Amino acid sequence: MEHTTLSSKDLITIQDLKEHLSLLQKSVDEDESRYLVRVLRKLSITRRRINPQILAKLIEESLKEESKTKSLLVTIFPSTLIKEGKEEEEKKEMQIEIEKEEEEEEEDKEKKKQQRNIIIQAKYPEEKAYLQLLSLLQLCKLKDYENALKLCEFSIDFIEKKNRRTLDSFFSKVFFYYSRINEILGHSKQIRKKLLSAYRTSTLRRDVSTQAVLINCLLRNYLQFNLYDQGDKLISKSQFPPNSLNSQHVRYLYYLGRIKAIQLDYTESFRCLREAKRKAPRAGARGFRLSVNKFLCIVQLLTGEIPEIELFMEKDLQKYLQPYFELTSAVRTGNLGDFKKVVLREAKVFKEDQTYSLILRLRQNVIKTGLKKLNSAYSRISFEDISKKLQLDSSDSVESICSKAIFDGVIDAIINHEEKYIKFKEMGDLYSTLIPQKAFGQRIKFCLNIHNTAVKNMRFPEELLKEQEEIDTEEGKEQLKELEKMSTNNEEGKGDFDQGEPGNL
Amino acid sequence: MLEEEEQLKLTPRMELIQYKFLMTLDDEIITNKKEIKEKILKIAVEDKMAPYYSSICKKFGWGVDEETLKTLKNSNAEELKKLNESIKNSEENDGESEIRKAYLAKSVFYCRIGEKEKALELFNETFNKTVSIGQKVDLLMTKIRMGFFFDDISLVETNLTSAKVILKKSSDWERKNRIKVYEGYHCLKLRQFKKAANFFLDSIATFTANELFDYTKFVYYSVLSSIVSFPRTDLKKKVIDAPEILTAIEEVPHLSELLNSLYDCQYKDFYKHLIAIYDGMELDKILSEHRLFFCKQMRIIAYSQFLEAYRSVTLKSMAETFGVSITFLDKELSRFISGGKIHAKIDKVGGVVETTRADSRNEGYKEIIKIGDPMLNRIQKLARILN
Repeated sequence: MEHTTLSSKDLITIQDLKEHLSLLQKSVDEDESRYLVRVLRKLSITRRRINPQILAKLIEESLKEESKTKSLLVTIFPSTLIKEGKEEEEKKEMQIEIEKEEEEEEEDKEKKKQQRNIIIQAKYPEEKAYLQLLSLLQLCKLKDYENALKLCEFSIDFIEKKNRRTLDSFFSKVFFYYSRINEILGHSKQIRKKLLSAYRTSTLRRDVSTQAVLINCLLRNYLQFNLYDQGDKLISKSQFPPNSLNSQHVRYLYYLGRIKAIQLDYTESFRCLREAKRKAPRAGARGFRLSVNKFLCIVQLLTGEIPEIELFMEKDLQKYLQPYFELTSAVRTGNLGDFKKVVLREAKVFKEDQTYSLILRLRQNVIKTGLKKLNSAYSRISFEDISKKLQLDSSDSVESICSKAIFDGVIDAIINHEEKYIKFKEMGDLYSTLIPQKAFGQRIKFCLNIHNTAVKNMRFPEELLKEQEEIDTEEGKEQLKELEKMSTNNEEGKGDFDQGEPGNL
Repeated sequence: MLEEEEQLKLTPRMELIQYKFLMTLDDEIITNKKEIKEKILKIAVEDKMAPYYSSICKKFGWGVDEETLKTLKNSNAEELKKLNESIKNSEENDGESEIRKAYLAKSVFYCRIGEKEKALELFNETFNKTVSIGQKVDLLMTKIRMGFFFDDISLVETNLTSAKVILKKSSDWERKNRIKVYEGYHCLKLRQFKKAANFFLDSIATFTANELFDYTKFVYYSVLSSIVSFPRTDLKKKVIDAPEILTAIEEVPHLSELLNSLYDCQYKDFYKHLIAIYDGMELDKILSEHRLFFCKQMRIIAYSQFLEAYRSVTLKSMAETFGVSITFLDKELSRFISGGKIHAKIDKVGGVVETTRADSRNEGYKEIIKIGDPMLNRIQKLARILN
């Protein structure tokens, strides 16, 4: 970490961080969580602006000497980082103040001036936690994982002891980084116990955000070591808090989808992954979206449907989804030879993405699709021809594959064993059955339901309501004025007994 | 005025598109690449196309001849100076139309040498100064040609729509027909054969867009796009018996044979000529991307036409009629049937193809379910706000 003077941009950041600290104080004083939420929402922007010098100065000024936080943080971000150019700093601060004054209106001038020169002393643990979190983010940015781990553990102990609900969001973030840093350092196995016990405590304390984060961390941990049973048990025993943040919810759906896929529950898995994709951010989070798309593609193929081409067409992901696109084409055409080629060629990519085991299961699907295609094109075909067309190895296994397919309901056919051919049943006239009637009836019922619900939910338009409100408030104002008039009339009569309070009737 | 219009029509040089494309093909197919290279360079030097010269040398890795480049650049700079002077003069001394002429000359210059961005800018300025509808449309058409030249599809599309909007109010049939030819060419690029065929055949009687391609090529495009999209009756009326087409169709080898063999159900000949046409398509810039699709469509049309007459036909006789082997035919038919393009079923054990009449009621039912279900999903998403 170099020793440099603070630039003017850094000084503005420091001022902003001090404002954040004051907001946190305010949030605790007035028991209003929204200031805290506001500060944390800006976290992603803040973390890009901070650097070691800013943190050193902030730690120096904001924390009391005796606090343990300070003693730890000071070892990581020593105040010697800031050069001794104190006069220059003061001049710069003055300059910033002057510039800002000229821009702002007169009413805010005084207030801002006063606020800016205050040195905020961190008196609440929220502020200390915030400073710890910022330092943690900075260490992760610098890839200094040893120190980060130390800070994490300190932070966890610190927050746990305090047991304040306002610290919940900080707790969850610290745990997230704790789990991630251990994963990078390769210690995932050891922390499992700690995560589990922390999860239990957070459930007891109804700490929603930490619960969500911990479930996700544990699931990620299990998936890393392919412990799908344990993951499944965790899911069945725990309840993911419904009022958690969207980002955690999305992660949960993703892990859930992956576990379900391994457990052969493809429809459920597909549903989860699709929801995760919908709730994920549109731009950004590219790695996540890429992984979700890959799993979506494979799971959809396993359910027997062909993914739409739009899945592969997202501009920034297109290049990485190319092997999956080729795989899908091979499955779509029912071409076993192509399928084997693609799998062999891209085996490394698939193993990295952890989709390899799922892809191996696709072999059956390829054969099924091939049979379906034959179903639509042929009325009768011999086993030999099938084995040639599907590029299966021997014609004996063809018969058994066909019988299994018929049993599973993939194709509708009859096997003629003596003459060694398969006869596909005709589709027939659907209108001679009751199927169209049922299908149409279902859909019509659905549409009528929605229509009825929509009618029931109709409300008057907003403008009418607002006009009504305005009329009400105007009447109220007039009434209040009359009351005041009456009271002042009364008071003049009384003399100087009651001074000035109109409410005293 | 007329001379300017002619000048405007001649830029940019459309032959260069074809030559450039030919240079990108394999050496085996195009054996006379050297001659083509010389042709390109000759035109480049003739028109003093300095930017085009440097870009094309870079693209094909030919050594840039510094001498030629310098002379080209010098002559460009000189011309530019002259044009700028004339613009200044006319702005000071002359009236509106003179100023417009000067700007037009400069824009034509940029277009000619292949300087895309500046040409577009200047064309826009000239456009603002132009009053008459015809001249405006001419400018737009030049921009469209630049879009074709530089492979800029969005440029083509925006200018096509603006030209059409302007032409709606006018009764300039000549330009309307020319725009139709441009539109058809654009549709052909996007593989919309049916639309392209309609545009081409509409304007075939009064073909004046010689700057794009000559009449023979125009007939070539029209016939190919219509053969793949028109049903038999329309094909006979509009193409086979059309006098305008009959005049020029002999110039393109195999084209009239293809058309007539399909109509007369001579499938063996049809396939032979199809292969020849397929090879020919490779040499044309726009059609080469679509040649596989074209071939596939033609085969589907041929098979469906053949099978229309039969309830069931042996694979052997069908293979003989088409002049192909049974395995090939089997592969083709199974591919197209499972893709839903041909309504038939193969009985491999008996070696017979049986046709199934498309039952419109059942088809309609399946369509409704297929299209209706996604729509219902979307309605359900909307319905979520009700709760």
